[in-house]
Amino acid sequence: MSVVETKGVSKTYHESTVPVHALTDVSMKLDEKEFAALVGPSGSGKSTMLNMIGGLDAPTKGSVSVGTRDLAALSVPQLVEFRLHNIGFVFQAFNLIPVLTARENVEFIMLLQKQKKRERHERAEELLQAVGIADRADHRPSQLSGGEQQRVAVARALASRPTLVLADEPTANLDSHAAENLLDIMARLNEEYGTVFLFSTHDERVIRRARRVITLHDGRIASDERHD
Amino acid sequence: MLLELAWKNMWRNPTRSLVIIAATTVGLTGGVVAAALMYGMADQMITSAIETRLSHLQIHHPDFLVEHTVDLVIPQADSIVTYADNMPEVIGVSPRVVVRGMASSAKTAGGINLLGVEPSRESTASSVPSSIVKGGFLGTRRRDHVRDPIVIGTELAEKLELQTGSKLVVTFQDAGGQITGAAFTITGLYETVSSRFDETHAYVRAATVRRLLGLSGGYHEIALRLSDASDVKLVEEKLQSRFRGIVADSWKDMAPDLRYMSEMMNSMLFIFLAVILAALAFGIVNTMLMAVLERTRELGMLLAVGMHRRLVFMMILLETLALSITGGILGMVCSGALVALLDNIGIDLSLFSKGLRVFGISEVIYPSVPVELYPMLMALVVVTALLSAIYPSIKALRLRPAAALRTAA
Ligand SMILES: Nc1ncnc2c1ncn2[C@@H]1O[C@H](COP(=O)(O)OP(=O)(O)OP(=O)(O)O)[C@@H](O)[C@H]1O
Ligand SMILES: [Mg+2]
Repeated sequence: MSVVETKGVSKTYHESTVPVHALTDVSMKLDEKEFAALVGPSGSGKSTMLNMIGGLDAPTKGSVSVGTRDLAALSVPQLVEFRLHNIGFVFQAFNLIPVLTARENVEFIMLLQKQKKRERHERAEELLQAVGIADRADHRPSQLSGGEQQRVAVARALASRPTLVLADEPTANLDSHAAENLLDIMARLNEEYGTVFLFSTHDERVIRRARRVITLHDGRIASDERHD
Repeated sequence: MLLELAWKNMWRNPTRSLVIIAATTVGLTGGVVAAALMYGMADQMITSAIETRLSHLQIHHPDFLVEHTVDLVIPQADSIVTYADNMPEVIGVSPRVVVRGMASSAKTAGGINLLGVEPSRESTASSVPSSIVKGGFLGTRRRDHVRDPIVIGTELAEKLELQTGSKLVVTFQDAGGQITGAAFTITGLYETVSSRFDETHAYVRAATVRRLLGLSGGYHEIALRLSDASDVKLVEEKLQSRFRGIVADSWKDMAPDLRYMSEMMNSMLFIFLAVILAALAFGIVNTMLMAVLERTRELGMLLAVGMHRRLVFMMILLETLALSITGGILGMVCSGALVALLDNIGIDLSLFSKGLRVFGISEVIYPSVPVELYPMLMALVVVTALLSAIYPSIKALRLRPAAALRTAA
């Protein structure tokens, strides 16, 4: 049973006079426990793809399902609930609420899920430990380095116990050391919790860490390779 | 949780928030203090009018205030005075013989109300006997024992160019309709806060006017002073039901302009504050709009990770409310303190006092506001805050997460 399945997904943007075909007839599956990279040149449709899977945007054609759910069948508020409980997001930047501490940022998502205080504390503690931020848990994002902020973002993404984490160029703003460190952590969490990771990247070293590499070119899948 | 987040967000740009909070504080303080000044003036105008001209209640023959003829005396005046003396609500009773006349000196002349009073009683019902600036009030001093003494206001004395000791001729119609007149000796000058009053009221002994008018007895007017102004209706009813052939009028009946003034103050104040708050609302809208636009990516992220629009809307709404209410509370505290302080020391407007005395206002104003103003003000602030919050919050509501996040790239 696949965790994500897209069937013939196309996305055309009509925002300017010339329509932009960001994705054309993309079909693919992600299985349980996968740790996959989405690569391709700038403008190839990586972000668009992640937005479709995450229910942030709807395809022009085709269907996206996560688990047993067809996203097209969900209303806007249902999509919000779906994202809250099933998907963890890590963006390139602006992942965290600047006025909250690292711990509060991780707990915030569980607060939205209406989890109990005890549970929130324990889970946040555990995840901050796992991403190596436990000693800086009470710092605000501005007091953390870029790498540390992204690690907190990964902790936040996992806090809601999602089946799938979508990360759009999570290492783009990091130096190679911090990037590798983040990938280590993501790989370890993928092993430990079995959460599926799909991340887009340009970085060769990051691509090498993926067990599956899906390459997009002009909105189509150019190759899909597994390195197990 | 949302409230805490809103509060923290408010302090993200402390300068900007403080500017708007300070604007609210200063705006409200200015508004309230100005209002307090107006209230204080109105209050003083009413109080001084009651103390000099009106007293709380006046009793007349039913036709006297219309016709002003000498024979319209109050029936059973003596028993009314005795009755009023024994009413617990009443602290002063002064019966008067009232006639309109013309006061003239060698220089000029002017219309006056000549009040014939019992000097010791007059001082219980009006503040004029205690407002003497020169001489005495009709025999309260030994050397006033001249024939036909008169006490006039400084304003009239100046106008007629007279002094204490000068002769003043007053002409009026007697009971038979004949023009008669008499020369009085000025034995005292008084000065109240109203120059208009001082120019038009002169006091003599009741017996003197009666003799000149050819009246055998009686009074035209009985002025009552109460210990508590709010008893006025009660005392009025008691007197009306007890005695026939008289009318008792409260100060509100005799001077409707003063009553409307105190009512008008409230609506003026309301309009005044509404204008200030409307101006503040634009500042708040601007600040919050900036806060929302600046945070587009962050709000997009919140929507993406699973925060409902409703919550984002609420968060912005609470942030706006927190901003305005903080300013509102500070404004009320500051204005409350300032008004209390000014009420204690008074504002000396002696620079303009010549002008003010025309309106019957004293030189030193003690600003005050009714306490009901503060809850009303708080309600106005909250309404303003809610109205100003709507537009920025709707902006936040319209954000689409994917698009908002794309602005991050
Ligand atoms: N909202 C939008 N409106 C119009 N065009 C868009 C929109 N979003 C994406 N596009 C276009 O779709 C194409 C794919 O964009 P996308 O952001 O998915 O690329 P990407 O692979 O993520 O690129 P990068 O590596 O630069 O992030 C691009 O040509 C882009 O300009
Ligand atoms: Mg992209």
